[in-house]
Amino acid sequence: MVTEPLSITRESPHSDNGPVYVLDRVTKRFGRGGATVEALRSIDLQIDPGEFVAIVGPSGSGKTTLLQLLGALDRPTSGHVICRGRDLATMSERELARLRRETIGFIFQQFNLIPTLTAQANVEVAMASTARGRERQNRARALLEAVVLGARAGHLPSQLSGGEQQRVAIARALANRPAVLLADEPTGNLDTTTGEEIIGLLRDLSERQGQTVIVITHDHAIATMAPRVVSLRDGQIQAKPPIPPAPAG
Amino acid sequence: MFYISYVLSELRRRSGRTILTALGLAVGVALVITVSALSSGLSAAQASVLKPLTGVGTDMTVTRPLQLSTTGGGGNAFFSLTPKQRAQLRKENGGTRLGFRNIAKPGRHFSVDRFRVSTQLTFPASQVSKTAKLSGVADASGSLTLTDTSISGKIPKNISPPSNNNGSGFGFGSGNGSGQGSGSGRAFGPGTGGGRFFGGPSGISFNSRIVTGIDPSHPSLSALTPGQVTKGSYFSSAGNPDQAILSTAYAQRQGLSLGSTVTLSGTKFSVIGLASAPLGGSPSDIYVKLATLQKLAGLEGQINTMQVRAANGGGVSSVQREITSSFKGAQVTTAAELAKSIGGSLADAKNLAGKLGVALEVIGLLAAVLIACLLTLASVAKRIREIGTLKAVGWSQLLVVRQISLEALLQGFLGGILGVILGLIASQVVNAMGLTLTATLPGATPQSGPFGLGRFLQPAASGAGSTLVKIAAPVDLNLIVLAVVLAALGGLVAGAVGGLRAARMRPAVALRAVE
Repeated sequence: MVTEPLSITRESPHSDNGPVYVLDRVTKRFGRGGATVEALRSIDLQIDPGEFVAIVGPSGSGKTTLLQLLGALDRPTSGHVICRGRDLATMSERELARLRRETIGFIFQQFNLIPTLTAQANVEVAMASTARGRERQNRARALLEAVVLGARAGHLPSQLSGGEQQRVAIARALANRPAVLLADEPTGNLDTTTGEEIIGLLRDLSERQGQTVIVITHDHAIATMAPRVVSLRDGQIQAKPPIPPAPAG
Repeated sequence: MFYISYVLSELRRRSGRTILTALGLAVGVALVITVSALSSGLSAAQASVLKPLTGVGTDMTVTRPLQLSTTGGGGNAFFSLTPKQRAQLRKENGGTRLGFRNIAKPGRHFSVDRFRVSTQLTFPASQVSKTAKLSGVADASGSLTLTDTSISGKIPKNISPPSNNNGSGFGFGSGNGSGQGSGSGRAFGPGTGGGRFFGGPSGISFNSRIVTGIDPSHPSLSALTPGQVTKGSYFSSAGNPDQAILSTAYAQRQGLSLGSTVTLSGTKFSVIGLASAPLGGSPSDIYVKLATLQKLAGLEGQINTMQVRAANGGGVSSVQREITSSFKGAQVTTAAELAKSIGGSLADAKNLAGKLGVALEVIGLLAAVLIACLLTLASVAKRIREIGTLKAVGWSQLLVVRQISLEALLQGFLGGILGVILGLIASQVVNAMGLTLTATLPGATPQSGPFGLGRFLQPAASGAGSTLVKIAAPVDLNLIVLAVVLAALGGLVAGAVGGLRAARMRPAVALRAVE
């Protein structure tokens, strides 16, 4: 499905040795006083470069919270999230913004495209401060073509189907050649066929280009496609995942 | 730049919200423009009223008024004068007493002119050249303003011999002045105009007018400047001595026009010009050359008003002190003092515009900025998830604030332009309404006679101290630029407030927001 694989991702995503993520007893609580909810309880997790990981679990099991901590969108209440050797807790707001910009690509369940911008401009948003003028436009165009949306570059999100919108979002997530792609239920708002297409696209990125991909899903059919599944329940990783993890590295 | 096209897309695709916010600011801007324009219109109106006093360059007017005792009241005011003043006043106003017996034979028609100086005592014209030599004085010029009473009719067949003052002539009328002023005409009540001679034989009428003799060699510094001549021409230094310029109001009353003749004490003057009467100037009925009037009135070498121009504006008060100390009994009135004494609805409006105007502008702007802030906050609140997304794809806090502020700045700019359009419309409406206000200058007229004499001698419609001024609301470029800048700044403040609030949210929280 990805027609120009080398042009849209890092040429050597494995250049950084060591794991992409190491989570050390990560706990996240919400609320204050007596009404606190413990979304994550002392999570330990390691994700290596090039892995395709599906995070599964019922609603409220802490999947989204985990993904937000991985995406540097939030900070843990305790424990450490170490991304490519750096503890996120020690990083400033600016450094976190830079990490999100350069190392992480985010894909949302609701696509989260900016409604007033065209598909092309929505991809360019991610490169607003990393690429200039024509270079940015050309790359956005190439990314849209890579997700087979070249012909729809001038359309507004409201003029695109759900699957098309999610492909624009994937193009946006790949804009800065991130080390890791984080997808929060990317198929949740799509029909089964379109959902499979999107998962296929993500697996393709992982298998053919060694892109690290972490996908949240509560759809076990999709999870079976993933080489490694992390199962969450009540904020904890289940001891026995339904499918054995793929060998690391 | 990407940021700019993003801003433009936002404004364009959310045009309803954009226009609403811009309109909020526009109302404030329009208010500022209208109030400022009105205020400057009022200033311009006041300046036009003062122009004959300040614009032309007469900085001071020197007179020698009667020094009435402040304790003297009513008709006794005359007796509070010094004997010398009384003597001069009697001499200069004494001609009023008219012995019919001396004019013509009983039953015969007669016409006779009498000149009086009223409250402004005369002084030698040499004072002008003396004053001109004072340091700080640029120029000085003298004029003589007299009240001319022309009495005509038939001598009664039966007249008693002129055995006493109250015989068949008339003396001073009954005083009704309070005696509080120092020679100001106000103390004596307004003139009620000429009319039939009271209590005397029928068939006798008198006609009274104010005549000013001016020095045509100082046209810009005299009681009548060439600028006031609305029809015809001004005096030339060399021309015919028997020329007259009439006030438009007097000419209208008397049915006179250019080329007509007026007779003063038997001398015929041809009317060469018509002039508008300035507020606070000497609103005389007839202007002739100084030398001609002095000769007619038998006051050769005498004047009773001196116009003085200071070499520079800052020197006015020192020149004023100098004249007062070197010229005993002189009263020096500066243009600034006259300006302060302007009253009437114009002054009220000006004061109102000065005080209320600023308050209105501040309130209007604050309200506009507040509205813009609230609307921006509301629109930012709706875009929390969008902002969370921007942060998730790596936008820094600064970049987010900049983006929102840029949008608001442009919105404010738009509001400014809309406001200017609204303001221009409003000021055009004010112009079209043709509002008129009156300006009143109390006590600036030396023509009223003492002790109620002015009641008889002052022509009715000389309009001494009051003028109608049309109010415009001019909008100048500076005001427009200022208004647009203010609106843009208002937008910027609103954007910065809204943007900062949104950008400081943790992206995880922002992303959870429901759109």
